[in-house]
Amino acid sequence: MTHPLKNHFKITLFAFSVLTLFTLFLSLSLGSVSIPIKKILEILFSRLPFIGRFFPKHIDAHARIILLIRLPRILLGLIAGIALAVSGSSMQGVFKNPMASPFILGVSAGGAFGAAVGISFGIPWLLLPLIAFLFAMGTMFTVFFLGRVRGSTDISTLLLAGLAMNFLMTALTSLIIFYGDPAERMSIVAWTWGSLGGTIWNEVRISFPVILLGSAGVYAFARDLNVIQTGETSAKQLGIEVEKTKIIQLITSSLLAAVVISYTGVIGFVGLIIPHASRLLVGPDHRKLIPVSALLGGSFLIICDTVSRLSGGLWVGVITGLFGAPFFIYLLLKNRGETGW
Amino acid sequence: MEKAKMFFAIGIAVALVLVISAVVWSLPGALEFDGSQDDEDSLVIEDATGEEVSLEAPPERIVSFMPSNTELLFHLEVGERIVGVDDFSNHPEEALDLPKVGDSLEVDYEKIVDLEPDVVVITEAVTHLREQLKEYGIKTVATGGETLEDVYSDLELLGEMCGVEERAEEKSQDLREKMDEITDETRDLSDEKRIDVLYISGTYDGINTPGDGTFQDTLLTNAGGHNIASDKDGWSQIDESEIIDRDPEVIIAPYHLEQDLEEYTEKDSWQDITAVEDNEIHFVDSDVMSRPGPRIVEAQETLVEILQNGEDDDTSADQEVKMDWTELRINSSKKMVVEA
Repeated sequence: MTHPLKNHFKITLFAFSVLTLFTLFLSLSLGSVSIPIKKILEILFSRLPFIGRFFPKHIDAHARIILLIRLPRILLGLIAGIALAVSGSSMQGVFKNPMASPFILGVSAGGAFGAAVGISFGIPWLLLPLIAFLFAMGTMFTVFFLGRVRGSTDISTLLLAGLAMNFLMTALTSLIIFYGDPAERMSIVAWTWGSLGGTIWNEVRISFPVILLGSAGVYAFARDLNVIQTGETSAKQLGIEVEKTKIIQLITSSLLAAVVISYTGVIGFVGLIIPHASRLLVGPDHRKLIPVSALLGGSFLIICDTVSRLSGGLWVGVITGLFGAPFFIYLLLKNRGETGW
Repeated sequence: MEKAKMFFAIGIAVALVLVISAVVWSLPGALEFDGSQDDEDSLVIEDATGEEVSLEAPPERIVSFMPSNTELLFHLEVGERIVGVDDFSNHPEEALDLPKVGDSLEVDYEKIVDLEPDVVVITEAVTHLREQLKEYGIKTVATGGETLEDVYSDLELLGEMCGVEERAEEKSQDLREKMDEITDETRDLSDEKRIDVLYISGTYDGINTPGDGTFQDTLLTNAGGHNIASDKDGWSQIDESEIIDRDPEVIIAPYHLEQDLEEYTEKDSWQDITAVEDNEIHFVDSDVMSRPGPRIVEAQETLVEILQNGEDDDTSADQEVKMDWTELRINSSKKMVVEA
């Protein structure tokens, strides 16, 4: 198999960074109120440290729309895309299978249930990501241990366990909202399909540092993940503690998915298709795969959410699902009769 | 060597994360808190949720969220201050030309911010808008928007907000008097003279009906009816078996349900219901009937007509209602002449 962008990694990374920035600005310029590009740039640059003084400062309705409505939503989309894609890359590396992802393994649904529990018990919003993380991690390890057959992971058992947990957690989330607050029943749909609507700055402020650090944490083990791919015995020979690496990766990837999910609800398939697409582009080396996945995931989710905004509020998970489900079927067909990739 | 390199890499990563986070943290700056300062606010009002809202002055730019609020504001003759309405606000006609800002499930916050309103008028049922709009520095006043008494108090609340208290009090008094006049002979009827009535508000996922606490329940009672769903709390569902068991003499539903309802009334099990037997199924304008606004007078008149002239056997319910209205007006003017 050839990977078109395998060489010239630095150029590739630069190109994807530019792509991400471009998507960000494009999305920022689209919405139900039209604002000239020049003004958007002025609004943004006037807020930056040091260079800000050279740009006119706007404090009108347009500035509020850009800075208080569009920008936090787009930044949360960016960071959520990064988190889900990195989480997916990590899980696919750990399970050596392209079908593993936080959504497919039920981890996202577990996180959503945790957040719903937190909300219905009136836990302060600051702690929501934490309780979502605990539930996501619980789901992750339940699925992980259900998928263990005689000391090694059986991928079809793992996927089926994930399916079961996904249904269970989604059902429990709906149950707790349905009987918790009848007025909030419509929000079941938002929790199941994910929405970036009504994002506030504090959500961005919490998720940015946590997700950037978490992603760096996954990246720090990129080399170990590479070695695990070549076989666990050879990894052990090289002095890598396979089980420990796996567990740290699973905890970190649950954290990444959970923080996002506690603010947006379940957004499926980003963690599935983005790592896979990135692997097709730059090859299976996790040191290249993880940064490219992150950038691609961020841009992809921003684009999907822009479609969501412009369509009058179609849930973003519906759009990622429309892209993702056919892709999943393609992977299933391609992998029939094979284990791993 | 390997270790030093790793620490260096970690150091750079952490520094990068900190810088990016700091920028993200400070980007919105002071803008976030614009409009929430209270230093020059002179007008403090307590809204229907008990929240104290302070405004600089009576608002000149209002976004009205909910059709009943729009109708009440126009009734107060402050319609020209409305700069935007929700998607369902379609009355009076002037409201149709105003910018639309979405509905309660999908609010177009960008549009609201762009309209630069001094205040957004919401109802108790949609208070989730309040938190979100506060984030953008926009103030909200919530009306009750649920019971018949809410109509009068909402009118006075909005009057206070707009600086037209006297007019609001007059209008609310006027509404009260009109309502009393229409229901003069019907509201205190004894139980045995009351007509068992079922109001069907929707057929989504079963039969929906207004129960205790809704203003429709009050209107039905004041019109001399007995709402067979009045033991239910608020907006609720009623089983078909319950309907058959409670045997309503009259069934009332909005026009748009005419076809849906036929599916029910053609069933064998429904044939023994008195209302079906006597063909006492009436259709009404759902906007008039479902909004706790100034058109409750019209709603009340319609219900009194349907319930008190039920014995007239007319196949066209629509015509019947219209005819009876004119008759009512003639009757009441005669009465006034006699009284004078």
